[in-house]
Amino acid sequence: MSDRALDIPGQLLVRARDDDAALSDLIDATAPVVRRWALVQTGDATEADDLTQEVLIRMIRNLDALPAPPRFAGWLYTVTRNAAADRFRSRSRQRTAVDSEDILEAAVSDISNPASDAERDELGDVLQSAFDELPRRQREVFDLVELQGIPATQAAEILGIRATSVRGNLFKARRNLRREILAVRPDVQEDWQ
Amino acid sequence: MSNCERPLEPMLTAELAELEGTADTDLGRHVRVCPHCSAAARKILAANAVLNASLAEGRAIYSGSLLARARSTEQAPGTGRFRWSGGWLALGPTLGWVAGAVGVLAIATVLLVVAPRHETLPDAESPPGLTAVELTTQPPLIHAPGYDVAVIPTENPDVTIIWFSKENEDADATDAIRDGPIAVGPASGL
Repeated sequence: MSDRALDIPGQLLVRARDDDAALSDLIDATAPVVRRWALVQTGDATEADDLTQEVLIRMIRNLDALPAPPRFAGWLYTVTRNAAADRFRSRSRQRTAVDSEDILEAAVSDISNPASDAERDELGDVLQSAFDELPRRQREVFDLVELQGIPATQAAEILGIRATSVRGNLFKARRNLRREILAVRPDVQEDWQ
Repeated sequence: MSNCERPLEPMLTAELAELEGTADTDLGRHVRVCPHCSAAARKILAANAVLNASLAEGRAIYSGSLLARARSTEQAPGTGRFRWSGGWLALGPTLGWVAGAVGVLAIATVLLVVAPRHETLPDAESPPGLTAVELTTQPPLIHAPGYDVAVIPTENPDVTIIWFSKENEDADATDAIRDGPIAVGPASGL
């Protein structure tokens, strides 16, 4: 059985205990997912990279005790979440998304209705600040369900909360973010008012 | 772009399939035919794509170097980890030993203070040169008015102990000299 959130076969976890090649495959498969979770938690690209390595090292040291795939994603998410909490307990979140600016612009330029450079910049800024402003649980749910397309029930397992809580947080996150998104284009929203 | 009479709220909470116009719902069907709502839906979906791309972007992690780091930094014996309010504080081996020793010392101190004491009196020791005399016979008693007087010889022929005791128990004499021993030597004149 594989884990949909991580798409990792259960046998890979077993082989990784004794086979370095399998362990490398496991690391390659989990690193992007953990890094994304870490970025959602921290809002900082550099901190997310450091946190990812820290979490993967913990995973390697616990190879013999890793839960099977249906629970593996939840275990890994919890480790990531706790590591982020330990690491940044006394810090306020600061997002330095300089690294993602290029990707941001490239993605915005693919919009079917091209916008001006100023509008793209404005959209990027609004998106990042709006996402940062969301409560942590809403950020987690929005990323897992809305952006990654993971079903609410599976997101609930990963996060260790009820599916109804996932849907409630998703509802709030969508409304908060989309309101900001549409506000970037006053002409769109004014027609509704 | 024409105006739309529909309220904004459903667009803010719509499912992705509705925004894409693929859902067979009232809103999904409307998005397919309404340019205004379709534009808004595309804007929301594009924003999602932007956010998704920014979250997915990341530096490559080389499994080889990560493996080496994980194995080389395995927790060494003697390295203590203490839970701290600000996070995990890893202590070096030396500092760990010091912390352990301080802890043991503190416990020992508490036990010493709290534990009940059983003090033993030192053995009674006679001053050098003095030896108790084993009396095989009662010392002679001399009767005097109001007092009994015992004359007790010692090993030292020059010293004799004369013990005055009250004859009447009710007599509350306060004269210590007449209610205790007096060492009498040759020079005492007695």
